[in-house]
Amino acid sequence: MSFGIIKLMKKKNLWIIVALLVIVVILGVVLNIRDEKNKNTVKIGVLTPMSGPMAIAGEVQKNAFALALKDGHNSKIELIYEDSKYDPKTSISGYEALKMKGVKIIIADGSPVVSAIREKAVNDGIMVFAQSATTPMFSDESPLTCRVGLTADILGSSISEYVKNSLQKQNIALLAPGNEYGRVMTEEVGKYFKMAGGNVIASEIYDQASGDLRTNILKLKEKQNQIDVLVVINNITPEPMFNQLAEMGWNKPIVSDIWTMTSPNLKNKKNASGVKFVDYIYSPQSNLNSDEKAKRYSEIYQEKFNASSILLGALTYDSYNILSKAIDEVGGNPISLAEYFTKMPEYNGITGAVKFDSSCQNINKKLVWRKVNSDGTFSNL
Amino acid sequence: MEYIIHLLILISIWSILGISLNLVVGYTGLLSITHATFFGIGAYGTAILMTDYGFNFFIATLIGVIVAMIISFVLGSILGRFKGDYYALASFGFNIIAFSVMLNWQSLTRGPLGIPGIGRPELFGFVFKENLHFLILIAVFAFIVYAFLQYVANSSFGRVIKAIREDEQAISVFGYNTKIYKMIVFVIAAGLAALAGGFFASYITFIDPSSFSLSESIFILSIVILGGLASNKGVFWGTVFLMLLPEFLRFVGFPTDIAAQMRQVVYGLLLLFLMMYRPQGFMGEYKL
Repeated sequence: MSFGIIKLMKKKNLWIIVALLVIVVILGVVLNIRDEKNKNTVKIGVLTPMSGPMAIAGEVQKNAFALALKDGHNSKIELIYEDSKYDPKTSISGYEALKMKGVKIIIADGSPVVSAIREKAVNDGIMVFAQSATTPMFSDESPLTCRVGLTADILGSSISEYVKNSLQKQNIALLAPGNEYGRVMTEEVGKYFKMAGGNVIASEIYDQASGDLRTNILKLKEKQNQIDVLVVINNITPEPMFNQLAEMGWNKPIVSDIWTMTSPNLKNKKNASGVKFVDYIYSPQSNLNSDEKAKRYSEIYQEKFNASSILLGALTYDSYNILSKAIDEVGGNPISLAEYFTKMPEYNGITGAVKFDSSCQNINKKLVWRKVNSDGTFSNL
Repeated sequence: MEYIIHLLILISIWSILGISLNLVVGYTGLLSITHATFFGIGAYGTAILMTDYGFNFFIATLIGVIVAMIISFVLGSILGRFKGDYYALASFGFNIIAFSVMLNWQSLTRGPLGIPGIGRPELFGFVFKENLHFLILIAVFAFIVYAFLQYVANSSFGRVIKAIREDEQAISVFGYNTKIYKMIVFVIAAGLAALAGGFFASYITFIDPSSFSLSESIFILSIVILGGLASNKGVFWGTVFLMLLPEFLRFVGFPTDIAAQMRQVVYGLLLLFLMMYRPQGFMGEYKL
């Protein structure tokens, strides 16, 4: 066979492959859109990272939705997933795709995601239900933007208050990532601690993608004598951070937060022994949950998915159930739902009681303090 | 319809980015991997001036474009010392520096918190609030950029930069100062990327550094390579292809559990096939 014929064959093959792919895509699109239109249900869009470095958060949410559907499937509701990739551009595209599929209610996670879609959703009359985004950027006056989780400033003020009043310490240092959550926490903890008359001796901000924090720890070690308590925030790489703190002989008390201590990336908690942290009433450790529903959820999640039932999943579970109840009561219209939520009596979910204010933000701010034991388990303080 | 308009807006913005980078990479042969830097400078310039100082979109964007051109002039004079792979590496490094600045200069950029509430363009009292109006505006700008760069490519200036790409030493022998030509190309492309950044900020209404990382520069470069180096028409079609394909795949009824992964696989396979059979891109006249 001459070279020319091979070339021709290759070209022919290429066009056959491309044509087949195009046919598959078009068929898929047509069948999918027709299928979507035929369904007579309340469509809830789930905008979550399904690809990229934060895909684990999407996985946790999918698992939590699966449990919520198993426990209380609402036939009126249909969940439609879209990938947010945890970045604003993809989130906006995902938002527009959901809108095209007739979605009027969106459950969305992640600060960059909800910050990007917030304004558009309010203008389009679409409800955004954020489970865990901690950013203050999502707070506005609109009842169409709801949030079940607590903002970073609430966690920050709680840490400051605990260190100053309960531990009665005067000087702290902060170690936090350069991401949105780390920056806000550093700002909030520092602000409240100074307001209470304390001193912030040092603030070390590290690259969020880096697992090597030795340089930052070394800088803090130089001031160790002046520091009473180290506040650490690390929702991305907590395991190497605690390992390195132990390895470098950090010997002052450490205080942290829920998102660090229950991060799926912190598997071995033994090096975090003695760390005290602010937590929701809900805990992935089932024996710490006084609520029976929460206990059951964390056990089933662990059993079914062989993974820790972290807070994000629990908040997702609660979000589905709150929305499901509301849709049963008033239907799927975002305005009616917004009105319902602002007047809704307290809802007892697995993450604690949920009560919304006039701008649909959860006002129930009950937090607890826990400690990591030497065997890596948690106990209440 | 809204979704289609949204996609057309994104295509218009990324066309400006792709076509402007094509001037540097395709026509001049300089492998620049820092286009997202200028995209970000334009976006942040527009966002800061509009939200903090109440500037009109067009003035804010113009200032963003000028700032990007000044910075690109300084950067271009440094990059001018490098050639080939070293040029690519140096530009790559600059993108990382710029990203760190956007992330850490909190008093100016608000760092990872991002800047919300960026307004829409306003001209003689008319606000381009509706997406359709915004699309018309950005499409006009994209067309002007396309026509301008097409004119540049076909002019005597264009012939000189193509000659630089083919053999810089040879063209220098004829008395052309290649450094100046390369600098002009780099500054024009940076200004146009900043223009796209201004529109992006105004359209999305929220920006944070994640939109201007190294991966964005690589994505813009992929548009240029896929579309075809030194072909503005090819780059336009490359933009259409790369922007639309992942969006179309959203509507293919893959099972939820594997939908995102399947999309990535199909997307990757298509790109792989295209590069295997069309290494010069859709309409390229030159291979890297």
